[in-house]
Amino acid sequence: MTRRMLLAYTAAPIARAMAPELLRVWWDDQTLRVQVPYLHFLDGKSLERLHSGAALVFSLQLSLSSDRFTTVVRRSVDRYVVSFDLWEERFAITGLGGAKTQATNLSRDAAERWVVDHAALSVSGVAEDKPLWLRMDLRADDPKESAGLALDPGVTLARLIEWFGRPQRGVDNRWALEKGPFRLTDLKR
Amino acid sequence: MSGTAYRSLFGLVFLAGLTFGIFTASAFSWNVPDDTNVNSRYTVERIDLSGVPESKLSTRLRKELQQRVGQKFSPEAFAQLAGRIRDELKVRLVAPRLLRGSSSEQIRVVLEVSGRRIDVIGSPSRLAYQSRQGLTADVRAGVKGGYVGFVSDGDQLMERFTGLKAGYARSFFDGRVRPGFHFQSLRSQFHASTLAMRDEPYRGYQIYQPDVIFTPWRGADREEVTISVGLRLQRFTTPSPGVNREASHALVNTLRYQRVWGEESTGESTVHAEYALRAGLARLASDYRFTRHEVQAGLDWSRGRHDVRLSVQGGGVSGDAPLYDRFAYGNTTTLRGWSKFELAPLGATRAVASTIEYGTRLRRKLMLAAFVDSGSVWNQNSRGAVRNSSGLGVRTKDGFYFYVAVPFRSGTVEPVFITGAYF
Repeated sequence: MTRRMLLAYTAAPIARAMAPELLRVWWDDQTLRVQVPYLHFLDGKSLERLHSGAALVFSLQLSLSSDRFTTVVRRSVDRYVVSFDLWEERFAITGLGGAKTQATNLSRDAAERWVVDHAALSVSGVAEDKPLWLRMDLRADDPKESAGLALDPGVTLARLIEWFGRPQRGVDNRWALEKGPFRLTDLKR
Repeated sequence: MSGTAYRSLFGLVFLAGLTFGIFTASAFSWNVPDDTNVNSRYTVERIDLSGVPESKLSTRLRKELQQRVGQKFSPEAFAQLAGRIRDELKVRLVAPRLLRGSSSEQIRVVLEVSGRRIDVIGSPSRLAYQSRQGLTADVRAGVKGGYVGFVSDGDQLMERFTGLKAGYARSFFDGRVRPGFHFQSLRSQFHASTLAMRDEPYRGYQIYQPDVIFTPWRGADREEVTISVGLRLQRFTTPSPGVNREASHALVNTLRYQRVWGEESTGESTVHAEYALRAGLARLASDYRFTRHEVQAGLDWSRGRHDVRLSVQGGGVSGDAPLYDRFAYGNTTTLRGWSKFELAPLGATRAVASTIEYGTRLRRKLMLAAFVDSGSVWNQNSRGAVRNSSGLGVRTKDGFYFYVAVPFRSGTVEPVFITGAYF
């Protein structure tokens, strides 16, 4: 083994350990919750459209797998409408679906945090000592591209999952982060 | 398939199209509900149109826009108005953009108009000339859904038909349901090679055609599916009156799909497909009982200087169809270079044709193009020979084209000149 190879072998785990954790997961009362401190999705074209007074729908999907996403054991999809107050220059968010949640007067960072903080995935019945993988998909959809699907309060989870699987025009409108393997028992509660 | 089965199929398609068209028309509101856009609490101070002069809008629509001034901003209402402007101006996109007003609590709405909308069902006026079949002109003028036109077409059918046509169609539910009525009064003139094989079948005809076009699905801004269902009431003027060969009434149904990707400046692709069914039924008091199926599909792809067009089409006729409904391939669009009178002087009951065309841009709008056409026409219980041709020419993005086409045949080289324009 050369010195260069030895250095590479030693440095890789150190670099991985020092890399910022992009998807943070914790466990709270049989519910998985996430944080993405380094992800800024209110940016680029989405931000331009929000500044033009449009309201955008963001959909966030959490998928939990016990076999590196060959199968998914738990899944949740949440949808939010984000708009930007032209005069106050602050963001407002409305959650779509069953219970309508709302927040106003948010800064850009606070709005991003609000969306991610409200995503939750039930893990009741999932073995606590088995290795798990979690994936977070977030996409911003111009409602006309999703043909009203994202706004339909009666839309089924199955249709939303199928919709998440479809290709989207702009790659800058879609983000995916993964974490794993981890065990529920190892997570912060 | 029996007449009853066709009637049931027609009824089913009609009802499904109507229900789905109406349902999706009411549901096709892409903007978010008012209470989810924080700017809905502000008052509209002014509305501007960008991209086209406001005078292009109808008085009614302008008035409705003005009525929104002084009211709270409603995303839902502006989405509907944007949809109506899109339909009225036949543009691709109308996007509302909000700006701060002159004082707090007020906003300005700018409706940004861009792009031309695809028209999957409209047929433009055209002029065409083929050195073997002569001139074709199909010119129409219309206003507010109505149109009148003159046609002398020696290209599409086995006969040259000349006369007048008129019609009216009106859109409902954001253009998703479009009933119409069309009339044609035409005189027919048959080629000598046709008359050498049979007596003159008719001298002309009138067509009265009520139809409804549904748009059950409209995807991203340039993607549409349309279903057209109609009844063609056609009555021939025969050389020998009273021979019971005067009426050729048929159900005419067409399913179309078209999608356009990309932009003209950066590269654009178009996919289109169509299935057309005509059925002459005894129950419609038709003297001709037949079914005619025809499918067409194609891809236009362009990037930078390059442009590729692929298309394939074909179909079959069964039963006793008039000459009008038989296939006439070998014209300015199919098997270019071949003469339809040479391939099948009485038309064919089976046909298939394909085109591969490559173009390279010479100047801004002018392209040099080369093509290879292949296909065959034949009749039931017989075999058709495969015919090939190729050609070279120029065309412009405005619709003008000029080709020299050469059919592949042994012995002689007989170039055919094809030119024309869509406008």
